[in-house]
Amino acid sequence: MKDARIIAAIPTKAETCVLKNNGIFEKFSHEKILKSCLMAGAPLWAAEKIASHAARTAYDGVTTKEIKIWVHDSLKQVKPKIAKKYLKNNQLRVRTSRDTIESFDKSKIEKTLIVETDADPVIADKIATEVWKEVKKLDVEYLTAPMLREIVNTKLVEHGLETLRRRYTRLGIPVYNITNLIENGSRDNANMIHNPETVHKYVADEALKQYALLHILPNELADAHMSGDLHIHDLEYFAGRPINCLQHDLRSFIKNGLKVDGTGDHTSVAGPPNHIETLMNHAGEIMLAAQQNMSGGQSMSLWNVFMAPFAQGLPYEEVKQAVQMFIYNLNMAYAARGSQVPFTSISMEFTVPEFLKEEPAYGPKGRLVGTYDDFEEETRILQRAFTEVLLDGDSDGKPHLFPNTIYTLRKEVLKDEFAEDLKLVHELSSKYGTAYFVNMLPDYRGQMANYMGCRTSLGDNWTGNWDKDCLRTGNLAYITLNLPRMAYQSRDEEELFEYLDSYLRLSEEILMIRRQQSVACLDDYNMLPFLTQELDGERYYRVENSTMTFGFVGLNEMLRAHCGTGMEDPDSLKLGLKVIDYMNRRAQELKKETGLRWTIIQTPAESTAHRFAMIDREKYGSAAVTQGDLDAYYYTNSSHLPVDTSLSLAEKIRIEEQFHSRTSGGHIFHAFMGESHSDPEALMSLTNKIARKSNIGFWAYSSALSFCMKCKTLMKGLQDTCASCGEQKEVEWYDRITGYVQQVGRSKSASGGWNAGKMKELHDRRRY
Amino acid sequence: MRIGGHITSTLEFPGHMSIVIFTAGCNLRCPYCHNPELIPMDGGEEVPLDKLFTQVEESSDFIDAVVISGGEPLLQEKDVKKILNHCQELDLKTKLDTNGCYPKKLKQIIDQLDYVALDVKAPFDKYEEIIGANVGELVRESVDLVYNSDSFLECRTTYVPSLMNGDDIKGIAQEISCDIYTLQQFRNQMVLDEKLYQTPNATRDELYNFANKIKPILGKIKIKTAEFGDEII
Ligand code: SF4
Ligand SMILES: [Zn+2]
Repeated sequence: MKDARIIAAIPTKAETCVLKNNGIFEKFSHEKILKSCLMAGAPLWAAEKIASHAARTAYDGVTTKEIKIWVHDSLKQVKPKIAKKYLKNNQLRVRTSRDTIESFDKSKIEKTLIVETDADPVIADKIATEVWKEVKKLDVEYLTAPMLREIVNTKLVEHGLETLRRRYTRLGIPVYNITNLIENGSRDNANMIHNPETVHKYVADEALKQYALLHILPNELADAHMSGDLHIHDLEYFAGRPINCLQHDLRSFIKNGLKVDGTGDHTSVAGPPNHIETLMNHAGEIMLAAQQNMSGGQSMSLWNVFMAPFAQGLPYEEVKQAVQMFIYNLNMAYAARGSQVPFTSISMEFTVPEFLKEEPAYGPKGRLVGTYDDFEEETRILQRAFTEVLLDGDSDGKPHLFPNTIYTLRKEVLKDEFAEDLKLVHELSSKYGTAYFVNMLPDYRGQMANYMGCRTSLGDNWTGNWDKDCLRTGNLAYITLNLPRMAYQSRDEEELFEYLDSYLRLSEEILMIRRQQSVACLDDYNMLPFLTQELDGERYYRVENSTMTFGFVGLNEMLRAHCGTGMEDPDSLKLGLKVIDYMNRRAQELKKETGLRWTIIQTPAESTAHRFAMIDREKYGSAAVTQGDLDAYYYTNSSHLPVDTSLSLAEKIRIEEQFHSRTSGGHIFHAFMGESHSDPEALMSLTNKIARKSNIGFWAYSSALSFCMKCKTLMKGLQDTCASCGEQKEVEWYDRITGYVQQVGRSKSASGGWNAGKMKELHDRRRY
Repeated sequence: MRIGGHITSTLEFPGHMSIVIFTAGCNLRCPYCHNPELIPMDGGEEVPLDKLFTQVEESSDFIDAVVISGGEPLLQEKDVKKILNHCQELDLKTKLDTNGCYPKKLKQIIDQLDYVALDVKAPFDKYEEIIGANVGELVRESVDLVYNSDSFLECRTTYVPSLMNGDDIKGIAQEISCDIYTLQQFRNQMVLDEKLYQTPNATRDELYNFANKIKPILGKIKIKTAEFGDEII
């Protein structure tokens, strides 16, 4: 029966149509057969004869398979060798991943199954044979390796060989998504812009993320992440870049010089620096180099103290010039993963702290130059110069977004003697909102605590030695628990804690796997050479002191779902504290069980708060207690009060301070200024009070800024219109995103920026 | 006491952290008033003083001062006096924002005030014309009273382009004496008189020019805009 398709394919009534195996009709071609016979080595007379015979015998709707059999049989009568060659030539071709075209070879499937999946040879043979049968049914010119792999995978699934399939499968990204990435970019990370590097990063990230979920994590743990019970951060780095962040010790490089590749084999090796500018350069390169090995932020603590010996005897202007170069370097090093500016933090002291005074100080050429006590003046000058450079902003008048600058407040600093220095820092707070403060006054503190702009923190409460506990180590990884979901699933408090326990146990397992992977990357795969280089007789990165951390999101919404009231209600708050205490108890137990450093963190939930809320809305509908609206739901960060809380500043402090002593892995208090701008002296007064009268450990004053990209005018508050030139579209906003000040992505030409959840949060934020 | 609410501020008492209490009710109807919901006597809500005191006490660890603003606080002068007494006990500094219509009431409490911010809305003889109430002489009396007291005096004018001009600002400057004079930016987002929605916002440049002109007369001038914050000229 001729159907419409056959008729359509017939140009003249005299021509015959051939039905290919894939259901497509093609005109019968005498020439094609002639050619293939000649290719197989048949003499011209035989080729002509066979082709003409085929032309006569062919009927409308004849299949290529039938034609191939005739030709093969006819050639066999001419010479069997020619027939064999014909068969080989007309076999299916495969485009391999090595960019070659080869004939289909069943045994290759068999072999790869055995090598890649450990399959039993009998099973491998069986699968390969079935694939061969499947492939024969297809009438295509060639197959690609990914297509073949998918056919193999289908067979593996049909035979219930899921474990083999997981090992054999191919990871990657749909064509559509790549097109989208190239054309539109992604908004996952506020620190990234849209350019070729980020496209590369996302494509690679996607494969490596799937790899972690499929290959490294057992099903149960991967599911916990996918379903939103918990969030595994930086999954794309889980396998090959498993270690999060690092607090550097500048002294190590002052004494030993710098090999940016860790070995000195591929790059120039620098000796101990002799001049302040060299050391400033090195300081930037150290962070750039280390972030090639890591997934998170890079930080230097006690920066101005360790730098101080290099400022000795220099005029102030020269010191300031060197600092300026350092700050510009950090902001213009467009070289981190996917051309981000590296996420850097610098912690400074207002004075040489007591515990450093008698420590040996290393100066030019790495020589011992006394103790740090001798460099009090230089320590102060460096801090002042740093703050002044930040206050100047960039040449357009925008804030320098990096490094995150952290100022340590100690008892001895809150005195008149330091009033001028503190005032300058508060001018920075008032102008750009970029300064952070560490409070060393509360009872839970030892001598040292260091933070990063992302708020992860270390303190000298692990071995008791500030050097070991706070330097050359950092957070190895953290996992974030979806607290509100625990409440949706529980009928009473007992169940709530059962869920908490089970989520914690899942997290422990994941963190232990991540640690194993980290140790393997360090010790076995030799892929983190910057971290494993020997400095001062030991490995630079002290993995034994790194932290494994439980984070959490949405304590407020969990309480609202469970108790009906949020954190502002004293009874609910009590339960909230109990939840965090439970997590701490588990961390203590784990310390005993594993000998490792377990901590609790208020997760910097850039996208997690949004992701959890969206999944939960979908899963629990209106039973889910979320912030935001249909466009973008989100949960409140960690144990913060909701951004639109009506509580006063004092009430907020009194509630949130209770969590700071309980989250030694990191925390932050956001004093969102409801005013479009703030008075520096008033802020300074507030700083003094927070330090003396509260247990807040780490905080920042956020002030929102607007910047006209057209006429380069910096304005306070979130402005829709430029006050200088009237521009409306190209006015960009800056605000603090989960911790650090970032571009919001409001302006028309902005690329990168905040995700929908964060944008919503910005609009909901109540500024007091 | 009837109040519209309270906030914590770094700006309302310069150099100090303050808690600002907004009292409800005003005797004036300035067309550009940006707290119109606070004008009616029954605006805001009735809050018992002891509750207010508790709130101040709870904040006292983190503030230096209490600012009483409005509306017009002196419409509830008895309660204002009690708040001031309480501040003294807590060792907090005090500031009053007033439209200057009640010099006698002001006199009763002036010794308890560290700072008074006094609106001078127009040259004294043009009050009727500009804000529709002939209270200029009362305001003059208030300015003189505070200036001759121990309290710090800030006089302030909101510059509304369609209602006044540079000569008016100059006129005001010539009639008053104060410790600092502030020119505030008119913003058309939230105003009492709908007609003013059409009036453009005052710009920083306008304020800056006025400030420079009157600086020789008054000395210390501040301009205040949403986009550029507080700037001392
Ligand atoms: S601006 Fe002040 S004085 Fe004028 S009506 Fe409004 S509250 Fe009253
Ligand atoms: Zn502009």
